[in-house]
Amino acid sequence: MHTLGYTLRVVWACLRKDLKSARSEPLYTLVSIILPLNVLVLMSLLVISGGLAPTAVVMQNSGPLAQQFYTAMSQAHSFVLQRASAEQADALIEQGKIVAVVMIPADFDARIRHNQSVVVGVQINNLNTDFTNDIRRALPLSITSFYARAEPSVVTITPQERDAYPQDLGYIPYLAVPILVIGLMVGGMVQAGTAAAVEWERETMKELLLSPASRLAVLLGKMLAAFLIGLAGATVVLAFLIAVMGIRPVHWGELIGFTLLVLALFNAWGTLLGTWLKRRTPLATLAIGLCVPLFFLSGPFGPISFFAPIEQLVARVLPVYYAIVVLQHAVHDFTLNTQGIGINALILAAYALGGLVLATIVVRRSTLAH
Amino acid sequence: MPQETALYEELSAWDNLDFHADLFGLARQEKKARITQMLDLVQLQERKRSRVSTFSGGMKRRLALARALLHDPHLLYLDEPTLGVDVQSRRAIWDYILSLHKEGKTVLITTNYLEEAQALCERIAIIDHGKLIAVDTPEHLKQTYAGLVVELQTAQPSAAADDIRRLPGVKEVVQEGTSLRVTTQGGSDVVPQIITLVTGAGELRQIAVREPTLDEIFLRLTGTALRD
Repeated sequence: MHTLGYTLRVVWACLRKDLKSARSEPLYTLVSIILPLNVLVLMSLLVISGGLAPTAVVMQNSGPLAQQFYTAMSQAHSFVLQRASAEQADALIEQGKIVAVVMIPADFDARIRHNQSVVVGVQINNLNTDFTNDIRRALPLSITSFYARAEPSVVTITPQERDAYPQDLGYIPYLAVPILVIGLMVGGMVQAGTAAAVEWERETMKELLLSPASRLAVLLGKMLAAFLIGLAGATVVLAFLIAVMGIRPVHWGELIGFTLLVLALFNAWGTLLGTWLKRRTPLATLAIGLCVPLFFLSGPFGPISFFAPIEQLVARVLPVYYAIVVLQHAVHDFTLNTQGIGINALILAAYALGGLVLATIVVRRSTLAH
Repeated sequence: MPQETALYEELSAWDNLDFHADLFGLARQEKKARITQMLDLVQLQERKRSRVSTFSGGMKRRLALARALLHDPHLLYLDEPTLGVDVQSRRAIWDYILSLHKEGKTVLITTNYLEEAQALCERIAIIDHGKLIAVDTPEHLKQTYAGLVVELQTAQPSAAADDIRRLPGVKEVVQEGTSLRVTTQGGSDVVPQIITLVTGAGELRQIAVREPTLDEIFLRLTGTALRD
């Protein structure tokens, strides 16, 4: 029976040993710290590239109504507008730099004043249906909102909006949280997983398992080392979110606490994967490969109750989902499910504990090569 | 001590031993003294702060041995302790093992080098395909599975080989040109009769009588087919 003092000493020894190993391989450690940031930037670029449609507007009329129409378009949350001459617009669409050209005719103001119909020409590069559909949806919306302001008597139906939250949140700030979770996942799993797998690659696991130290103490020590190194990566990622993406967290305490919890969770699962795969290359490939499907399966774009039942079921099985829920609350004060933040956090803690226990079961003397 | 040295090569010799001492719960107050003692024993004191990755194969083996001895085990199991090390390091490792034996420790060694077993072991077990074939002292193994080896050199290929085979106490006769190697069973009683038969059949130029090597006994017991 191991005494608590001896067990803590083993935990501390394994922690210290892994930190020394990391210090003696600074390049590798630096890469593992930067990896979550790399994932964050890549995922952000992926999300940003799927955002607004670049569109040129040829203003052949500069009257007040034409200006109002332009303003209505700019407020449709679908376009990135730029004014251009007809020649410039043709060149831009030919070069593939814009998705559409909107032509506001020279008699725009006059025809509207005389209640005559106006044709707004739209030229679309329909190579990408996603963008094409954005244009097709947003232009009629712009026309309606233009009329609602320019001729309130014409548009008699007006929506009365009551918001659940005091202010709107942009697409990118909302998605920044799931991306943060994925960054923590990749960083945490790769760091802890490689630290575990390398013990098999270098055949040092045999020494660890033949010692009287408990497997739990050994793995816990290694996990803590990965956690401390992962903290550096998490700090870099949070700094990027705040300084570059302009995110302003609402609950700082929750943000720090849940970030630590999520990191610990993925450290535990990384340790499990590392002890199971016993090789660093498949571990890193799997951890990085998992990030994209897990991102999309865990309801990154909104509360999962908005989605199909099967999508909800899949998301509820994945710890990434619960990590998104608690961190959305910490960062934006959003409540994405009805379980309460405490329950979500407990589920995450259970996943972390489960990963550690499973890793302890996987690491057995019988798995060692003779 | 496993066959592979399994050291943390990115760490120093001292750090490796320090970590091992913690794993085995060595008393904190004696840890430093014990590590120093072990590094002295394996003559790595001057390199204690060097990374293990800069060590030669022999130095790594010595450090692995120091690590195995660090917590002062009563029973030491060494799996091929001199695999791939230079002659000097092997000799040094043998000396450490013999000194451990003198201290009263039990040392169990697995090895493919039978001269190592001969030099270090009081009892030898021969295992083939996972089965224990023989276990005894080296002397008894030699007496039980082979007596003496008589090597004779004649002027012409000797015609006495068949007569020698028929002698009681002769286990094996191998003739290669003018060389004749006779393995006896038991003691040296049959040696004069062998010499008489060979000299009667022609000129005897050279004779040597020696104990069989453990290699010869091992091959006799396990055969010469290659093992995986």
